[in-house]
Amino acid sequence: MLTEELVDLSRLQFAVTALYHFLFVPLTLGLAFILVIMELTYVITDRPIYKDMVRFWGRLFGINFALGVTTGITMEFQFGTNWAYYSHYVGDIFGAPLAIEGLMAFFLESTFIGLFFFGWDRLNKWQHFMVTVLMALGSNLSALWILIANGWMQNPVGAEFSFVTMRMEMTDFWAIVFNPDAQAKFVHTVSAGYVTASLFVLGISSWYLLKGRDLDFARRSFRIAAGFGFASALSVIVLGDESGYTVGEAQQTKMAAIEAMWETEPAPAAFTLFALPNQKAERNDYELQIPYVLGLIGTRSLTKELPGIKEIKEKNRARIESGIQAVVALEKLRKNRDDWAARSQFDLHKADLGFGLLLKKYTVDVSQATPEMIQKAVDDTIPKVAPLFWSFRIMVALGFAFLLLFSLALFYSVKGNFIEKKWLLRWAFWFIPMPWIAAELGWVVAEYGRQPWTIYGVLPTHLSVSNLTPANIYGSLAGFVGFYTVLLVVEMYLMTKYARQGPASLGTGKYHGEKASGGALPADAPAQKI
Amino acid sequence: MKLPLPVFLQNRLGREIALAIAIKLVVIAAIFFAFFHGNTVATDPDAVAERLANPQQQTTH
Repeated sequence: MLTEELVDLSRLQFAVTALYHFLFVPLTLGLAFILVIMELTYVITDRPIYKDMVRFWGRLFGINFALGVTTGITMEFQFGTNWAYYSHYVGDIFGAPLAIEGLMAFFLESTFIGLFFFGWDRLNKWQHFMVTVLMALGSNLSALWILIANGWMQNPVGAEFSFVTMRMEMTDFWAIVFNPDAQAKFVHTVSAGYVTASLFVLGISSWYLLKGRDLDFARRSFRIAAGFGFASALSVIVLGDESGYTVGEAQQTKMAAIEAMWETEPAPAAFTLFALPNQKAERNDYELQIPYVLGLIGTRSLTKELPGIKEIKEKNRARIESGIQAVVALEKLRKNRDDWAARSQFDLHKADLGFGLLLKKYTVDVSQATPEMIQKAVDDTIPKVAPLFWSFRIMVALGFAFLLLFSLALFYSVKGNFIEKKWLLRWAFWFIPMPWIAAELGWVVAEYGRQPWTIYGVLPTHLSVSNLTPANIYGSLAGFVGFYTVLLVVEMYLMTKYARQGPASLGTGKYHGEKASGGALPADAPAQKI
Repeated sequence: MKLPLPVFLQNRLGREIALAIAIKLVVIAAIFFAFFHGNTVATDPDAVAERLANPQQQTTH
């Protein structure tokens, strides 16, 4: 039996596991490339300090990777356990990129991560450098295929519904691979990962500098993080803007909800900087707007209009009414495949089949849907506006704060006096968690903003879930939350422990707290308060 | 004769990570067997048609 409770619990379970999984991913994506930069510097200059940097930051990378491993697998398993109808309906398309991602993760990424850690004594420095490059490519390519799958959920191209197999079937693999939504999502997501890792290295290096320890090591790490972080923060904003543009093309509903844009405004639409969205009255209270900005981001033009929520709802009403015809024709075709009248009716309305299926939440026989049911389904097509509005704005504000921080870090790195800027070092240290918050909010915008669909315009969320009992989900959800909390504590403990030890954890005898040789401060050097 | 530990288990961090991964696999498998094993859903075309394209289907919301 399907209940609202079951649907909401299944969504909550997936959200919890996905958000948890994404605590590990961005650091893996970004730190791998920072290791490439550090190791390239090592192979070119042959200075052992860069090798120590690769080994130390690589150790933190390894802890993050090991603790993150398998958290992604639980999500893939959930497609089968919690979302079985979704898996049947779109498995023909969704399965391919997911399988390629699995191959990338297991055979490329994992293999080279093993070689990275255990190959120092077996490979020459150029060979080891190539291993690091392939490890970074493996982790990023693995993200590419997942985001191709996710991009298809946002903008389902290259596929068609078959009433015989009752599922979507792939018609154009390359359209799926080069889906503009997937490409924009990929570059935006990996850039966000690079920012996360850069701030991680920058913040920990700042901590060493504030403590006055491992100065040479921290200074070089800081400089690399500042340069890479500046480029990444700039990319994440530019590519986020590109992502906003493609969202505007494919998912105007999401764009209108993010912007709390109730009415269609004359082009170019204004960007709402602050407002209290009032979904019941379909208006904003206390609105503060910047003219033209939204129209330029969303359409790249001064003349194209972006539809407001009210206009979108009216379009959706028409699609739901057309979708009723598609569902009725489908029901006839399932009884008799040779019913040509039904076939032609289905072909005429099949683009709106998903919208007709929205009514299944309120009636099993959609041909008997009342105007009240249709109105409810129309209202359902708009996600809750306030969480999207605020999540998006906090994410964007953090993005600009990262750009400012990295700009200043790079500026003072070039000037060579960043060690004197204690306020900058403190800012970098205390800002370490912020990229994770921004990234999680980004996923809230992407996934919550797609509701009520699992596949936008094709398959409603409430028809995608497996027939489990709420007790099953309550139990497994409690298990995941409890266990993942423990894992997070272990991750934080290990990261903090090895970060506090610093490069001394490598046991080279050159760093803070080891038998001093080569300028390291003694372990009992007075610590400074941050 | 006692066999030497694999290289990655010879340091403390390696042992901690190996233990964490082993516990993870056990707990995730336990969650699967406790709450999902045996709850198979038929997803052949007829079963999906029954869910999506049957005006007599019995569901509750």
